[in-house]
Amino acid sequence: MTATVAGLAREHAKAMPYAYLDERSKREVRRGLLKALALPGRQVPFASREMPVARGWGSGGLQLTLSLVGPDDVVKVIDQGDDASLNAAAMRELIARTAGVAVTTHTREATIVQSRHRVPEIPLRPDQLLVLQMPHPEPLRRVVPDPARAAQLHADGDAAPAWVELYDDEVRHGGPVGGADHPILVAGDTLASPSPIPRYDVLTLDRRPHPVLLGAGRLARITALPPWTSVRPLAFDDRPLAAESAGGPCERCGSERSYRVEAQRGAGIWRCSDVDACRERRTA
Amino acid sequence: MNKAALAPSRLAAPEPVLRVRGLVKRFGPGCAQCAQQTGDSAGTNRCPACGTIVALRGVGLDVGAGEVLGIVGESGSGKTTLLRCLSMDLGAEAGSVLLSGVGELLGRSGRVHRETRARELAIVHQDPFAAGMLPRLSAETNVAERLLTNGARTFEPLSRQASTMLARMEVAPGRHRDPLGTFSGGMRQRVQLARALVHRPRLLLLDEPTTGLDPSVQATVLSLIERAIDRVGAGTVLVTHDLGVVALLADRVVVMHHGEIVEEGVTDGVLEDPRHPYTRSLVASRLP
Repeated sequence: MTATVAGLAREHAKAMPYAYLDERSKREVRRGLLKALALPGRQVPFASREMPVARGWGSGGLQLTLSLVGPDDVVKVIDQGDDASLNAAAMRELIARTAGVAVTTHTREATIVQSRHRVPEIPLRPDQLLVLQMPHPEPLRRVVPDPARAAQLHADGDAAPAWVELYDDEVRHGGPVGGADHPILVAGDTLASPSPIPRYDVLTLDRRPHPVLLGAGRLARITALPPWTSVRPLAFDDRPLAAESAGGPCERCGSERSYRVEAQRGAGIWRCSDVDACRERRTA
Repeated sequence: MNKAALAPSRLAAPEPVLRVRGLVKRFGPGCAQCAQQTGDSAGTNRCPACGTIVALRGVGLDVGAGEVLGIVGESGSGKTTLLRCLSMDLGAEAGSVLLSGVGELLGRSGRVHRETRARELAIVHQDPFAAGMLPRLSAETNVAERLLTNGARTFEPLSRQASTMLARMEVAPGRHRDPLGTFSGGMRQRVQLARALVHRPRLLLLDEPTTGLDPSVQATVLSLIERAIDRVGAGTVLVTHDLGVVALLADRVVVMHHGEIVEEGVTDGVLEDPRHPYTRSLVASRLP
């Protein structure tokens, strides 16, 4: 029998395990997740696999989603609040093809929401999972460049370098200068990175009814926030963290409370970053 | 010299902030001959048999609250090793270092060392950046760092405290929020002093605090140190090559040679009437 490229591709597709990763890899990721859930906010190492996306482009979040997704799940993938970005669309397609699960752009329909750099503004239920892609799991990386020293500081429960950095921002700039990835204190005093979500989203992380799972594929770390975990932004008692402000209401739904981004720099047109939440408001 | 007559307990305050006894620090494997073949009487701190450097040989001293103890000696005499043992950067082979309110420091866990360093101790180095100060951060942040490490989490009082301490060290208010890297050497030393004293440490360690500064700046910094020590009341250990600095600041002085304390006494007494030959040569070499 003559082998054709199409035939070989079909054979290969049949040999592909459910949800792309082999079962052992998925088990290893799930073990890491269980450990991360038992140690809220801590960075748990896992054997990160090569994925068909570049490391740093969501390979961590993708591995978490693929390790958790079951045949009855409905998956939503967003990139900065938008379902239509190339990165989100490619990953959604990969999950749908390899696991054969349903996909959606509606937050309320999803059982697993994988997101890059945003927390959906429509409140998630306890039966939903939020998976956040996390490029840098180390909250001290800007102030403590030596990973060994940073690890020692975490082991000692010493978050002082992050407080010093925040103090300097307050002294010299009147507040935190970082636009995203503001450090959080999980379950008391465990310093963690919330992934590069805006401050608007950081303020919504406290005591959420569903698990938040953060995966860093390039740096092979998982962090988890179990349901109802206390999450406080790093902020002085008399200087609470403020959310970003937009220059105007959303031009589509008119919201003045959503997280909005400028549609075109300098044009003064602001739109909701969370496309699904914006759509719901328009159709309500 | 009768060393027994100069035992630390005779000279120091009744309840010292720091009490060091029999401190031994070696760099090398050590051997049976180290004890006999090193020290002041042997004329070397390097063991000829095994090559071990015996940096400290049974060092003992007391420092009272508000008292300044000067430590002088040539390079390699053990001054800096002693300071590093007191600041818990180095362990020791034998001896005891008792800090009031904390207890024994030698052999304690890393956590006790860290907490003691943060709460009870302050070190002023010749190079401010060796003391962990960061040039990209503002002067005020560098001062507040110690308070943040100790758990202060309210911005306004913290900022007031750091600014007040900088003002006491005569750093102009207009510069409090400038990055430390833009400061001159003398100004950096003032910021370092403010940082060292802002949390009112029990023990202050000064390691050549004015070396490398020009004479006029040196005089200002010395005067600030003197006033700051009076105000905070910390026990102070001052390591320096400069007998002029010792004469100005230190209440008592110990002279180290080949890892041993060879002379100890009230500063004026030691400088005016040195007994040990090495002290005599040291005093004689002092510029008029």
